[in-house]
Amino acid sequence: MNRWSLIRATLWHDRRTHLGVVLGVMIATAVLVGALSLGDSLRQSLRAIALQRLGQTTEALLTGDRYFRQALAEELMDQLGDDLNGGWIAPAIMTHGTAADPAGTAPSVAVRLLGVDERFWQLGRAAIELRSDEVALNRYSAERLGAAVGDVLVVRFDKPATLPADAVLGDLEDRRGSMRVRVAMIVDDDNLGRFDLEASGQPVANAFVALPALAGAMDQHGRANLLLVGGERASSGELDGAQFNRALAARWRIEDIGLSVTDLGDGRGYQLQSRHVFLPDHVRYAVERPLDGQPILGYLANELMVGDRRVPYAIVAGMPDEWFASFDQGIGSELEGGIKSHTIWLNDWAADEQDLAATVGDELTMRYYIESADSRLAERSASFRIGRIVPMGGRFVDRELMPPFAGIADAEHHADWNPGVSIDLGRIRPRDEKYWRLYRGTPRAFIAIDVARDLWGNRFGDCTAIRFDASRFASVDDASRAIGAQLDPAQFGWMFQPVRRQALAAAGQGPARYFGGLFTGLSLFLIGAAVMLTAMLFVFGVEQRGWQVGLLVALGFTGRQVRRLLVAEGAVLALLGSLLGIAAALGYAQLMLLALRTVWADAVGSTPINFHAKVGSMVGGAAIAWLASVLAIMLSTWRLMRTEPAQLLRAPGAHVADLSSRRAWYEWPAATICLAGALVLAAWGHDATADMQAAGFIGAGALTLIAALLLVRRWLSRLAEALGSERAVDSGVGASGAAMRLTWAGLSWRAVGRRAGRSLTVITVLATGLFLTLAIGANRKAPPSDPLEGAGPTGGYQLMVNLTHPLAHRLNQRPDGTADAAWAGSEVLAMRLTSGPQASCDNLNRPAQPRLAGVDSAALAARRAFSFISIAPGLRGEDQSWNLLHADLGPDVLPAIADQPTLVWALGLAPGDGLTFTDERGRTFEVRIVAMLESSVLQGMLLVDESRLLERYPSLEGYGRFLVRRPETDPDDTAQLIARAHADRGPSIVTTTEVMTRFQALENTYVSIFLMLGGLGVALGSLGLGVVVLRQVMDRRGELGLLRAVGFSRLSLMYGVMIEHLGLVAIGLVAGMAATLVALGPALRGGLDVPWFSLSLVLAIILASLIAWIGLAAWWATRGSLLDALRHE
Amino acid sequence: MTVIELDNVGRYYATTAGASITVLDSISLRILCGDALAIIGPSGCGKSTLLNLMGALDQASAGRVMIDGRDVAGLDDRQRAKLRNERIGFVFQAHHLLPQCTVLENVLVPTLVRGASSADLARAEQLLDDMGLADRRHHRPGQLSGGECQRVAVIRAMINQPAVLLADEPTGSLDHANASRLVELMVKLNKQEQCALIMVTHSVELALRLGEVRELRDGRLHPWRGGP
Repeated sequence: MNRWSLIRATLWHDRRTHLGVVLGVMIATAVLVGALSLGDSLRQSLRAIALQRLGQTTEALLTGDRYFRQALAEELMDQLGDDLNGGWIAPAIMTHGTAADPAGTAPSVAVRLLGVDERFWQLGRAAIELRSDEVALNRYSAERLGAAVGDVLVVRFDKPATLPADAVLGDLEDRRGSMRVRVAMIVDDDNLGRFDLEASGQPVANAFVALPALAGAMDQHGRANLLLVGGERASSGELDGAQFNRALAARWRIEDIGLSVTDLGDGRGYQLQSRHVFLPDHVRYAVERPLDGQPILGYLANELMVGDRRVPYAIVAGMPDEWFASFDQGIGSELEGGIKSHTIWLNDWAADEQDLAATVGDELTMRYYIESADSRLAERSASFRIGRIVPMGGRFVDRELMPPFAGIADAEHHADWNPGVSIDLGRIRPRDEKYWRLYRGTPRAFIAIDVARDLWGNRFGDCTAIRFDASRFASVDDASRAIGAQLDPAQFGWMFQPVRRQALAAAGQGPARYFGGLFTGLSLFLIGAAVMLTAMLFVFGVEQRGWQVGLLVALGFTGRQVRRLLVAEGAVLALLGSLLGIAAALGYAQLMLLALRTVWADAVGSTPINFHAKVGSMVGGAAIAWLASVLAIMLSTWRLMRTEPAQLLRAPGAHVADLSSRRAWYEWPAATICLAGALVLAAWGHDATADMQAAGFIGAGALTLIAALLLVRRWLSRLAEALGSERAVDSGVGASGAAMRLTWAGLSWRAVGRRAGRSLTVITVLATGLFLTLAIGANRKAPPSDPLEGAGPTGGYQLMVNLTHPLAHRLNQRPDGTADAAWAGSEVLAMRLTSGPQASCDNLNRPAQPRLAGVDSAALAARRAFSFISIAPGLRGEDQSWNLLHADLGPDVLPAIADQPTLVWALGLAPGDGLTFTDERGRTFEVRIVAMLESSVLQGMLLVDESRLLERYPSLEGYGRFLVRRPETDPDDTAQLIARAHADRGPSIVTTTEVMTRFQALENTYVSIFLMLGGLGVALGSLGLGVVVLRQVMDRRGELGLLRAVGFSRLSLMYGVMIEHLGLVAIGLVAGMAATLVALGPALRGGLDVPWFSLSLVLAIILASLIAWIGLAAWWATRGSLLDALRHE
Repeated sequence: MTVIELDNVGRYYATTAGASITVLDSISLRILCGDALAIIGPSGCGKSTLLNLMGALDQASAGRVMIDGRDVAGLDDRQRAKLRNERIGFVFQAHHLLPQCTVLENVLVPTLVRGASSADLARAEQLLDDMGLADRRHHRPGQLSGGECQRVAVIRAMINQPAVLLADEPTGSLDHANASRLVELMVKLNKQEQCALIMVTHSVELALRLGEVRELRDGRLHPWRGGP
């Protein structure tokens, strides 16, 4: 015989009593482990999806609009040799496009168009071969298109531009390409069907076509813009990502980044040019001085004017000092003095009588377009003094000085020009045509390069060519190699990205990381209810044999020793419950997953979740539930042990230390303070922002609840106090205290007071459960009632427009940037988007470099659009508006603003935090959050100032997203107008109210989950109440037997028992509902979409459950012969 | 040797109205080793309260309770528990045997405080043998008669060789024959083990089997002068 054998014997003897305890712990464990398993399942599913979308791909190089030689893939493989470990490199083209059936019977669908060959498919362990007229769709795109194998589709795409269409002199020509293809197959997700380099969280509509066919259709024969590295061993992580970048640096060629060297002939030297017109600054810095190059900037002047004589549309060249000096050694002083700012050399043709009739010394005015600070086209003018009239011969006739302007360079006739600016072809004269025919792009005027840079330098660069002396290189190849040696592909942002590692990291972070915790939080009340029920059942069991406790104390056990015995007993029961709970958790988690796939699908977006449980979570969750249960048992037994042993040795049920009959001094002051606090919070919440308002009102409700419970406690104390004297009389040691009137209801209330502690527990659980469930459950977000309200989540915009093919100008402008009269009275916020993944709530991955959106911050500041809720430390004294996007935070810091869900939920950031980005020239910079907005339609992006974004991403073309405000027009009409005007750009148009509804769906789904789990918790609490009722009545079976003996019917006894406990329920309901009503302040003001039906249903279920349990307990306790109970007593 | 000494012991309860109820008043009593004392009195007169005070289960409101020469008021919970375990044996009206344990295990329960030894086991078996319960030692309380259960309770009280056996109406739930047998057993142990015996009872007949009888009346102990 030892203590453990005593515990073992007790456990076995009281096994039926302990069953409830085991079940309670089992429920708590099942809910907790189930919640944690959901987190595991989500993370594991995201990981599986990440691996599925990448196949065996480990590294990727995506070069956007810069198409390199496909042969680079083989060259890199040669370079890497055995280091590839049997892996391979697949070239591909990845671009955006649309697909539709040729008859145009259905709207086109935005697709990601991939030009691939067999090397790509090998990454997905598939052997697919597509012919040039075939397309393979993934399941999602096939579903969206309603396409099946054999159907014919037309896919449309944009060919790469030389200069972005929205740049001055950009490529405005129709770059739209198309392919007519037959659906050859539907690709499974396991075979790279959902191929995606980004963890977007959204399904991707992929359309795969043959690489040569797509390259040809895009006028990029033999070129690609994507390299994928992979293979069996590569995907096992044996390859070092850095070696790919080293191999790239060794094998790339300048033509891969669109640069080319030409031999100018006749000993004029070599010229470096870019097919993207301007040479980036870093290219010029790397090449100009080390290789003794001379920069040149050719530009299109709208007009040259001397007096009232004009020459339209002339090429003007900015030339280096050396060029001027080569014509006249004595020009040095002129260079120093005037030419840099005031002098222009005009060619003989332009100075001719038939043109400007200009002479040396005349003043010449030049008009030209530039891109203004707000990214709009603006015409400027500059004045020069004509320093020299140069002859039409020799080096003054130099066609190669004209850059490869799109729409100009290849024009047969002057009248065929279609540059990226608005020109009036009617002004072209026969003389201009003749010049074009004879001299093509030969500049008609020359100015100093420094002046030209000042006038025309832009985000793409400040020179259009660099010339080298003929003696500098032996050949074009020699020049190309020498120039290439000066450049690093990383400067163009060309770096292999470890996409596999990034994808796995993203899957393990972000919302997925704390999904388990979130679900646990939502389940907390249910877990708490189960733990409380467990403790209560355990204590009831101990109370039932309280005499044993008293006996042990009488036999010389100390209180601590007895408590240890009891706790050890409880710990063993809890362990059993926890172990069973793990098994139950598997079923519970499956049930929750089923709900997440169906009714709660909005909580996880389109992410398919499969069950994956980790041993750590199961054991950890079970351990926590076990510990919580043991702690609750310890607390309860501690309370039990405060009872005198002599009392414990009496009959069961007559010995428990209950609520002190002494009134606590703090009840009134604390209740008053809580009520005052509730009023203050409610008043504050009235004027707070919507998000803070909900928090404020729930806080006010909670304080009201505490105040109500304090008052109930006080009332119960008084009741207990009144009964205290009666107990003294009962025990034969007291005087006859104040007698209570003996009525049936009075008897019931005496019972309430007799177990005041239990009564308070019942009321507290009920009121708290109701409050938590109803108050939080009612906090569903409603879509904005007035989308035109500027400070609201829509920013005052009615429509959101997304374009697959970005638009070079704003929706309410014409292509030349001038206002479109049809859009009078409208306001349009245009957003320039980078290609990063969205950081919205429905992306359960955490993107490392989320999408940036360049906006017109001045316009937003002027409109005071959206509401700010938090400003970064250190900026709080500043103008707290969109002007913060102009804050100077250092040379490599870009200020950004985002809404709360984006920052808090998707990125885990706060104002003041930063993220590191790499710009298109390979430079790293920090995007620092300067302010946080309320939840809004801007979710998913970090908003930065457009002009500052373009400094980092100069080639970012056009606007991909617009917010539209046309208060005078029906939004449907506006949507139709946009859809008609931009049908070929794959528009997606939704109202901002719909956008907010979609964003809020996730939040509302969590509220629904809480409502359901909270409701379950209260239902479990009502079961606990039933147990309390049963226990109370069982304790009083002798008393009931006596009542039966003196003539009460069984029905009237049941009635009395029910009245007594329904009274407790009523008090709990009143306290809980009062607090709930306070918390629902915003709802009463119309700020919330209160789910009245769901709430009423939950309330009805709770009430029905309470009445049922009370009724059942009353019936159970009054069944059988109560007179026998009397005899036993 | 004095085992228990009560010196002007009082026990009062305060009422909510601020008044005070006196249950025991200025009781002085000395119990020597091997004494046998019966306390009788009407219901509610405070007999059990007095026994609880002598057993260190309750604290006196006034006066001193000395057990083995130690003032109980000066002992903490742990020391009082040790005292009860080693020097006092309790028998209640209800036997309070643990239904989950066998007779032998029930007898050994008090030894668990320090850990049961083989000597304890031997003593338990010896006592059961002496009291004619040897063949019942592996039975559970549910398989015993009321009288047997109460005898086991007495043996349990004696397992640690206490200095005093406090019996609170131990025969209250027994028939006359069983009651008589139980008192015989306690008196036998009182003599055999030289342990003082204090028994609270309503039965004058049973009380008289002990050497000395006192009556508790109006909160005070009076010598019993005969009568029913």
